[in-house]
Amino acid sequence: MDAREAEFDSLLQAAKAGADWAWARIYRDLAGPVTGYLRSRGAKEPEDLTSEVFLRVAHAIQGFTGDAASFRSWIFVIAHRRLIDERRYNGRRPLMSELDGAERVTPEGDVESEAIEHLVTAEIAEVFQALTDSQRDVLALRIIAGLSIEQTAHVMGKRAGAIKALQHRALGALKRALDEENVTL
Amino acid sequence: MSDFDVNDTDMAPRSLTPQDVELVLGREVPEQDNLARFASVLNSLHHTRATIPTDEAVAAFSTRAAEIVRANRIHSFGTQAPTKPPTQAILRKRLVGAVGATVLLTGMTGVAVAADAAAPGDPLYGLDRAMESVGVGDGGSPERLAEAQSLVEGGQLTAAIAHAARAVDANSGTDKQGFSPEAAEAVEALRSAAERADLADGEGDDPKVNDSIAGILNQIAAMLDSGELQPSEIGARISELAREIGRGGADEKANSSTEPDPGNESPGPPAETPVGPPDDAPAGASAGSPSGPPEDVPGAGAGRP
Repeated sequence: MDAREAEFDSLLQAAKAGADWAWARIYRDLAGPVTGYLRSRGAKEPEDLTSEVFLRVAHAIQGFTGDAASFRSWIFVIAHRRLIDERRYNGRRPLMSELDGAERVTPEGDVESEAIEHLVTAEIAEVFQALTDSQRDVLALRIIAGLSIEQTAHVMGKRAGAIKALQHRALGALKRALDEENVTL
Repeated sequence: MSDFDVNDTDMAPRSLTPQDVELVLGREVPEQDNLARFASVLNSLHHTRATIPTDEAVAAFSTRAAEIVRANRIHSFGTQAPTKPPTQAILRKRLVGAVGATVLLTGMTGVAVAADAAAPGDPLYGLDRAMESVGVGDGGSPERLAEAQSLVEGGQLTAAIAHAARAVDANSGTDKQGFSPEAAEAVEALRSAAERADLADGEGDDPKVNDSIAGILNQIAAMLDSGELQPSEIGARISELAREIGRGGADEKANSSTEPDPGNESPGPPAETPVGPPDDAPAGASAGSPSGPPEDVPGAGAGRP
């Protein structure tokens, strides 16, 4: 076990023991990507849904065994299924409109960069509308959630090869659209 | 030629190779100018989506999560009574999971669930209710259902079911509480089964009905464990199985009406109780992610070391 895995193991044991600091670190590291994923996939109230996801994690943590990567993908499995449940409950299809109006976080806080990013994000949102649900899921999990191909496959319950194909087609469509619009940063 | 150039749809990329994809999604900025721009766009998407939780949110959640974990650990230790036979302990564990799933399927919205663990009959229950009356503890249906879970952990299975059913009754029509029609239907069916054996008042628990309900919950738990059933599908399955009990009870009642037995005042459960899923299981049971683990079985599948 390398140092990184040993560190995660300590974190996991502390979380299982009910240590506040461990849960604070888990939430600080993963709540942002989870919220981003839920928002980008059209969750009605992504912050509330994120809270539900992490409370569920707290309830189920005693049964978890695995490394840091599997922990991350486990959390997104819960988030993904909560999202599906919400869609079923609300009886609606996922939307991408939240890409335009959601809270934005830019590391530098540069006004010009933010303005350009907003334009680009709007372009991306438009292109996203033309993608299939599965393609959107893959891009959101890969880009926003930061999951690997294997982790994305795990979350979506598909084979890695299928994820690669979905990802390739979605990215190709995105790039073509951006090239045609001549959008640059 | 790329593998994706052949027989693709109109969405098929014509300029990206699989290597390009790895580059634009990688941590390093690609050298090619067009790919570098594209990678920047994707990176901006990440930055604009992934919010950073505030310190206050982190502190609030960590406190809440730690409380939940500690409460669950106390419950876990408290139910490991040495006098219980192993098989009963295993069954109880599954039932706890199943009722937890029932609680889950009602779509709780992240309010207080486990910290206020006092159940009816417990010394702390009065205090718990008093706190609720002033708005502490959020004594809505989620809390009632959490109490039901506590009752299950204490071995009072049928009372727990009735308690859970009352939680739904008390909140019918309250959309924000998060009860889906499916969940309400499921618990209503269980409530009917419980009432049939005079379970609602906590007296006269019928062991056969007990077994029936236990069988249902046990079956649901097993299906969750195997990934055959997703949490969102539990309601429909519970409802289906519970109706089997109801139908069996009705049949038995009809039979007893033709052969009256003054000495037996209990309506009683069916002689043969369906505890497993019927042959015509809903297709949804295997829908979703057949290769993925259920969320209640963390670490299973690819992630398990």
